[in-house]
Amino acid sequence: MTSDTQLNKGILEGCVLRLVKTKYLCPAEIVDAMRTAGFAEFSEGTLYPMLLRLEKEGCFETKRQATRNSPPKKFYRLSESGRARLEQFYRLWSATAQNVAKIFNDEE
Amino acid sequence: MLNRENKKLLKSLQNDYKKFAKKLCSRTFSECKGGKSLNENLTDILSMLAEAQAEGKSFSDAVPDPEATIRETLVCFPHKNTRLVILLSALFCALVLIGSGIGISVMYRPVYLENVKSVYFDSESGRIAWSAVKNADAYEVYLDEKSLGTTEDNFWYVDETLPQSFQVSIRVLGEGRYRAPREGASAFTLYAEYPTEEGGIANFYTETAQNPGASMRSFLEASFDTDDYRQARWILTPEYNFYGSLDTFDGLGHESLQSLTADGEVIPLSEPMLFEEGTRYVFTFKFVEQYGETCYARIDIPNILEAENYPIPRGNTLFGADGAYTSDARYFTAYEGNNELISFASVDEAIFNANTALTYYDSFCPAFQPLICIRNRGGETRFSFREIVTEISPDTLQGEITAEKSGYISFTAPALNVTSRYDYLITLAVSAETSSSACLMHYSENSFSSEPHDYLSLFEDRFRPVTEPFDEGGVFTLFVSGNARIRYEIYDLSQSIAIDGSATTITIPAGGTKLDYDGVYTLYATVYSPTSMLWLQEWQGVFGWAVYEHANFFLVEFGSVFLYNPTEQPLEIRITPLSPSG
Repeated sequence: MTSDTQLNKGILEGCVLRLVKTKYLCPAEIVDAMRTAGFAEFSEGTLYPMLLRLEKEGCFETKRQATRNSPPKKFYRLSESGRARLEQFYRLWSATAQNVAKIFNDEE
Repeated sequence: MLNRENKKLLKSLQNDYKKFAKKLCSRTFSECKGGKSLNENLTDILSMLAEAQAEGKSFSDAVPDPEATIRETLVCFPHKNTRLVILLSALFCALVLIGSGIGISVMYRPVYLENVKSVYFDSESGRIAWSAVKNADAYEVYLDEKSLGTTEDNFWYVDETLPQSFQVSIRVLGEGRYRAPREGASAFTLYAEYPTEEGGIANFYTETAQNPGASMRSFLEASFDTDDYRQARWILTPEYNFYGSLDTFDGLGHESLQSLTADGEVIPLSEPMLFEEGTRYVFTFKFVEQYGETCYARIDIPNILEAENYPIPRGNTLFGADGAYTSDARYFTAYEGNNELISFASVDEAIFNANTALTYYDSFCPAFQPLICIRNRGGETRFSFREIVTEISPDTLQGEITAEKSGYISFTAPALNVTSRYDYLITLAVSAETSSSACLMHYSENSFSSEPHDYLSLFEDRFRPVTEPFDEGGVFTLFVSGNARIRYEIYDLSQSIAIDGSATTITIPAGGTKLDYDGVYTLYATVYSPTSMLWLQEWQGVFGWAVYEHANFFLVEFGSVFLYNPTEQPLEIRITPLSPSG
């Protein structure tokens, strides 16, 4: 993982959107899933400003769920406008990845 | 400011998590707009931190770059328009300068400033907020007569210790008006809400053993949870006069409570003072840090028999004039006598020869010369002098004292025979009457010799015996708060057991007996009642207790033991020598 570049930020954001596409996840589950996928340095400190920003932009449906020993947890799932954002990200990412691959392949 | 839910979340965080959360909250509120929505979003963030902490994640793992995280978080909220204000101010200044430069005279007239209309005070945060005034440049805030400072905002966080009610004045500043101190200020009387503990001595009385077998420490203590509050109040109305020194501390040190005030007066800590019966003392404490530890306020009660805590200044009145039986001042004032830590006026024994009822007011009167002296505060006290011991005989109930009100009860047990002093034992049995829900008792023993004084305390709502040997006579003082029935017994312990090398069974009478022996023996206790106990006590030196139930044994080596039987039934023990030759 490289450090916190704009490119990286965009990718991380896209991945988070994808994780909550179909099911509600709490922040701890998102961090775990990201780390399991290979983003080893992904942390709560990275996640919660991102969640705040994306929620403000209307990307999530949220719900709170009471827990026995800790404060109520908040769960996130992609909203309609979040879906549009995810599709946009994926289109851009696919096109960029193809372009990058093309250049790398041509050089070889 | 943080709402209650967020305060709780903040409190649940620890160490670096807590520091980070505090910093994040502080910067969010100082740089961003939107109180309620800020709180809602902070709830999410603090919950995430709490969850990460609960999972055992290190802070550096959860938030590797705290500054970057705070920066990115703040970006998500609308910011206060400080830049816009600066920009507009700059534009205004430029216009004025340009206007002056081209010779346009600007008509300037002081604008009218209204006074502040209303003030709101939040006890939990110490925040005073007031209605903003149009055209005000700033506000000067006064707490009573003292200026706290000037602010451009319409709120102020009070850091001072506040009494229950106080006056706040807000002076509006702007356009050259109101230059004189407090001129044009609006004054408001505000009330602070504190967690309050209120009661008398019985409500706060505590005692702890400093070390086993040694003196007890007595004090009054009130505890306060600092959660959500900046201050607390302790209201104490003593049921009787006592000397005490105030102390404040928390679980970690002495820093949590900065000051102590009573009715607005700061009280020096650790200085003994007289707390007077019936006076309502209002102590106000200020916590150094909110959301922190439980804080304690304490009044240490000195042992009146310890020289370093000499509680009653020389010349202090011991009895009220109504209760004194003589007008001679030396009979009712404290003085320091030879080799006595506290000496008091001696009383003519003849006064007590009859079954006389006496009432003393406001007195401390441990007996020195009088055989018995009862201190009482206002109520009736009865005692019977005729039942006070004049002879010591085994197993005899020698007398009974009934104290119906608070006070000291003292009596002197005379040493009748100097050569047999070791053979006597005084047992004081103290039981609280069930009609009194708050009966406190101190028992202290003061030998006539100048040896260090023992100080034992009882705080029991049931019958409890106290056993002390004495060798040169002594003064036994009981301090009783609430109703109590005191029964005392004096036993002759001169019973000696001859052991001829074979197993011997002896009967321990109610009260106990002293056993002299020469050799090494095993004592077997055969106790028939399931509630019976036999205590074995070393005759000299530090007391060590052994409790025997049913068949048990204890090894003794050369010397004397006192076998104490607190029950009213005789108990049998068997003695087996381990070394027949002794």
